[in-house]
Amino acid sequence: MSDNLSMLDSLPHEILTNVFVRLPIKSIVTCTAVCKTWKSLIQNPTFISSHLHHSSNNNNKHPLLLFRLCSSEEKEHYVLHFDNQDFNEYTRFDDFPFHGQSYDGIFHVVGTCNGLVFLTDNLYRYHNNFVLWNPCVRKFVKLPKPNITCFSHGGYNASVGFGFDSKTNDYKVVRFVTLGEKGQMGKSPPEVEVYSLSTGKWRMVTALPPIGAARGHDPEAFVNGALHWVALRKTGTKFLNFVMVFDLGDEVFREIALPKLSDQNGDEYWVRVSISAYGNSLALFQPGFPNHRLSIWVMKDYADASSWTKIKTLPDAFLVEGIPRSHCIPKCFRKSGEVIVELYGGYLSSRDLKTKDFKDLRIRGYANTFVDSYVESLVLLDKPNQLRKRQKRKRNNNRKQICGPMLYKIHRFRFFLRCKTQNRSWSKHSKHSTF
Amino acid sequence: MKFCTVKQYFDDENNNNVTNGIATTVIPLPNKHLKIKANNKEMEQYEQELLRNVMPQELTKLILAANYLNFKEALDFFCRTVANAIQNKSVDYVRKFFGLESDFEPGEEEKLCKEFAWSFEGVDED
Repeated sequence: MSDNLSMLDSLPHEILTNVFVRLPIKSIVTCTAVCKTWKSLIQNPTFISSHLHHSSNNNNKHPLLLFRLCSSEEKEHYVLHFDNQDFNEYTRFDDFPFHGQSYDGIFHVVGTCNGLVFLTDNLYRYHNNFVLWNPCVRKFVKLPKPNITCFSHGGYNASVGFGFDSKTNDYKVVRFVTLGEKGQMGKSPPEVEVYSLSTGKWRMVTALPPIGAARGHDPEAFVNGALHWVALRKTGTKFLNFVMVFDLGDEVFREIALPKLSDQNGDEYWVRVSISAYGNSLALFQPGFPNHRLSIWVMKDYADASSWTKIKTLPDAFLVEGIPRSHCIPKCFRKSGEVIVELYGGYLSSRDLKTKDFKDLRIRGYANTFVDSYVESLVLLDKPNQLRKRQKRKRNNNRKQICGPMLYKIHRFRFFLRCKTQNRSWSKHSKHSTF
Repeated sequence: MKFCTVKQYFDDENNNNVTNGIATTVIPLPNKHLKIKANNKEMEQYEQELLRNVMPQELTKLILAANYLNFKEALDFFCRTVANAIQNKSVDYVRKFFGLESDFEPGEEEKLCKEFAWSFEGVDED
């Protein structure tokens, strides 16, 4: 009898892996406490990759959507829904560890990838604090300060993106920064720096980017192993938007042209578009002005600029609870190709682009709602919760003092507390010195 | 294709990995698969019936047999069964199921329980 019993504990690792990947994440984490062998098997990058692969396959059959909803009390709620007809709730992540720790009350969610959520705070357009968080395993990594900050380099516009490098099995955060000191907008290349989760450090990218300006806060799309963002270039007297592409594996730049977006003599300075992932390709959202109509373009063949197709112009109103709602703010695409939009008042609905059907998702956010597809994973399970490390970086000799005393004293929380007496979150913030 | 190793097994007289009892359980599985085909409910019922009489110790032998025979569907099926059996159970239950003992240092296990306290909440009773 004892011989038989002892056989289960000698199952080969591949078979144990086959068992573990089928467990819900909570149970997998419980299994790390069974014995040392199991702990080292589970908290291992190889197993984490196997689990992600299994989870992604499941996700293709039962896709999930992550919603970040903010309440009027500046509390953040993270909820997963099934991306199907019924749109039922799958689970909630009640343990958001950073309540009240952002400068303006709530975090800005940049994106998700393989179960990780990338958060930044937002201080007068400057992102200073970055966090990678996996809500499934309740682990996070706070990134060190980047090389380019407003204290070291003066004013700038920056676009930040996040994705996975399959070549090195590494997660990377990339910042494209257009420095104010460089002069005319759209006539110089951006400064680009990359953070790698495996090294825990920021470094400047060596490849030379094409000339193009970041306009700040624009979302980036992670598709086919590369980050895509809309940049502005000045040629002669006219401005033109185009897609700058940064391959995370090779760390090289490419460009993709955009369709003609403006009637004003080809000058697109006032055209603001945002880019989104659309399956394995890209989509473009162009808000109309002043009609509040939204145009959606889709690139039918990835990287083929001639395949940009305008597929929809969404009209204004849709009845929600009997009241017409308008002002579509597009959020993301569902697996089915429908687009999730936020209507005036924070009402989220799903719009079929072929038929014109709107579906009320019966979900409402107060402001700053984030929606994206999501895959459960164990990424970061093999790392301790990491507070921000101080990273030594080369100081810019031409260190500029930011004009105005307010920005200079940003890091002195008490001063800032006086400036923002109305904001309730500061009463919590003054007690913490986490950042 | 599924039974490329079966011939080898029958040829190999000194084989200790697969006993006759196991062979009678594992080998009819693909035929049953074909009969039931895509009908998931029937397959589930068949699986339940098959495993009602199988103790964890027997399950190990079944798994190792399926592994040796390179029989992926059976292996996945048995692993799925084990996963269902230990899902949302406490650490002690899982240890008993597998016949394992804790080999952590006293402080180490406590540290783990503290770090992942959330995963130990709400488990099924043993």
